[in-house]
Amino acid sequence: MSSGGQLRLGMIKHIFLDGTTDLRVIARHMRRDKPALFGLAIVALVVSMALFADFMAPYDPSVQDLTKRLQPPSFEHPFGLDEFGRDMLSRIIHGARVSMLVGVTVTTLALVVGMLLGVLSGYFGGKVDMLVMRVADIFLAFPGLIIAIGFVAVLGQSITNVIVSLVLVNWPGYARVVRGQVLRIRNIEYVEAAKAIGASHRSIMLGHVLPNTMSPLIVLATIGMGWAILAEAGLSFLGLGVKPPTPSWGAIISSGRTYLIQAPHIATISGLILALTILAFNLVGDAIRDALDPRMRI
Amino acid sequence: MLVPVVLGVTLIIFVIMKLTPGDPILNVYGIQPTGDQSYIAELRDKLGLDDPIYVQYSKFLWRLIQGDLGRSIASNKPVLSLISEALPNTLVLILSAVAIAALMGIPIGVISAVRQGTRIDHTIRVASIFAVSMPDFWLALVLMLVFSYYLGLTPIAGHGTVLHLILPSSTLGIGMSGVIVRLTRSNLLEIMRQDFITAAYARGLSRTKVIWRHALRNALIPIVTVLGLQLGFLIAGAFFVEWIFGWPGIGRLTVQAITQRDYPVVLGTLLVTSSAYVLINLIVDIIYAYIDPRVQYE
Repeated sequence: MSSGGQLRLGMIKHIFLDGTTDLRVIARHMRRDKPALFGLAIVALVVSMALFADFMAPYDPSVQDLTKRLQPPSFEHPFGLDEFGRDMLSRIIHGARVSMLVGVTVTTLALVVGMLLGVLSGYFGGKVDMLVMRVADIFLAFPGLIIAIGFVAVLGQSITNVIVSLVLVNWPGYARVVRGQVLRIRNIEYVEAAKAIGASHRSIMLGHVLPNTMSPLIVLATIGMGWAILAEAGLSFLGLGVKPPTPSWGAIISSGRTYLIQAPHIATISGLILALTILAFNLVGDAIRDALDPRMRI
Repeated sequence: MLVPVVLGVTLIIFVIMKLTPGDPILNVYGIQPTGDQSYIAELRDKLGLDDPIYVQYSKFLWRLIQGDLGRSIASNKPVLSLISEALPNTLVLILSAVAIAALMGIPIGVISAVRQGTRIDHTIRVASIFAVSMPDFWLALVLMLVFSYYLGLTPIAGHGTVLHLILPSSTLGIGMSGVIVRLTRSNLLEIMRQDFITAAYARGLSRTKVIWRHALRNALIPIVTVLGLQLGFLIAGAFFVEWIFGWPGIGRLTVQAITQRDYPVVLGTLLVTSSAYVLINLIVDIIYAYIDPRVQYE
């Protein structure tokens, strides 16, 4: 009983300490890395756009003024107006909601599914490993975005279907990384020691193996956020994302394509915001990788 | 390895296509046909649309083994001939994109590594990560606007001359060149620290000779393998780029077929693209194992 309690305490300490040291290393590294700080600032801006869109947007994103349609950027409307005379800045601010919702949900779900299956696969090996990895291989065999396009085209246009299909194509990447890490960790002495003192599979996996797979996952998840946002925009661009009139960056770029010559500001500005957001996640992901890679530490 | 993955891929595509709501025949004709319904029933029977799913799938697989991918519901042409018409165009597009990416990416990556830590290096690093972050469909629109509309240098869209190829292949190539710049830079920096480089300097070779003859040649090995793996992303990118520029390749064929719910065509194109991707991965793995004897496969 007491040894079980101690073990649990050890587990908590392990997760806690591991987490803080990693975070500290990342923070120290980031402070010196200007591009990463720039990325972090953009991520913070996009997150606050998503959370406080109603307060930040200067106009109602769905109010139309057909007399002013396709107007270029001006003092009142810094990003111009779209084909229905709606304020582009407000639509882009509200569009961040869809992007962040899809980004966060897809990454979290894919991470959880990938982590669970990866740990099971690496820890138990044998038939479980074989099955999980073959299924992962099949999904990885596709260029992810293409199968996501196929899925949404079939399941129908909705944000839930976008999320489901992106999770479906995204989890194998995480599972593979976790499995690799688990295979590396499985035979290290402290796992052997935990086994020797009679710890259960569950406590070994959660307490000893999983916390040590975290570093590469943080990097993968940060870059995965950028990917999910890009994929959602791509699907919306093809008309497979959220339904109008809900503003989404991909859909705004798509409608901007129709008016590319008359009103180039629609596609160019919204696309630039999308590109900057993905850039921001990539910069942050890169900085975290550098921070966690022992070879980069001097 | 290859066969189960391709089989799994066919199964996934087949199942999702069969889940499609809506009647493929209605989708082709657009409206509910009035008058003689027996013709419709005959057509459904002929297309095997009323057979149980497993019968349809096994029929599909059997035909597949014989090289028959069925007929397009929309145009009644054999899917294989549609694909073989489109495939060369996609190959031309992708190969030109790879060429552009390598010609741009490798020299820029070398400059970045040689000037490590300078302002040029910082600018190149940020620019290359921005190139990776740009959505293809946005870059395509920007290039179209600038080079076709404002400058009038290239045709807006279409196919036929070399001029038509410039914008679509540049769109794909620029994104990929970002990856190559980053890889060239990091590999070159790692190799420059190795003993044989010091030895080359000690023999009195010039800096240029050491970098181009000794360092780059060794740095290129992993770059070539990554180029192979990037082809998968290029195929996905080609979906958007071909569609935007009206380039008659596999991507445009698939997007068109998805909007028409022409599932034999969707199934065929996804099958071809994913098989190509699996094959490329396999070849890259083999090359990698051949180049680097430390990598072993069971």
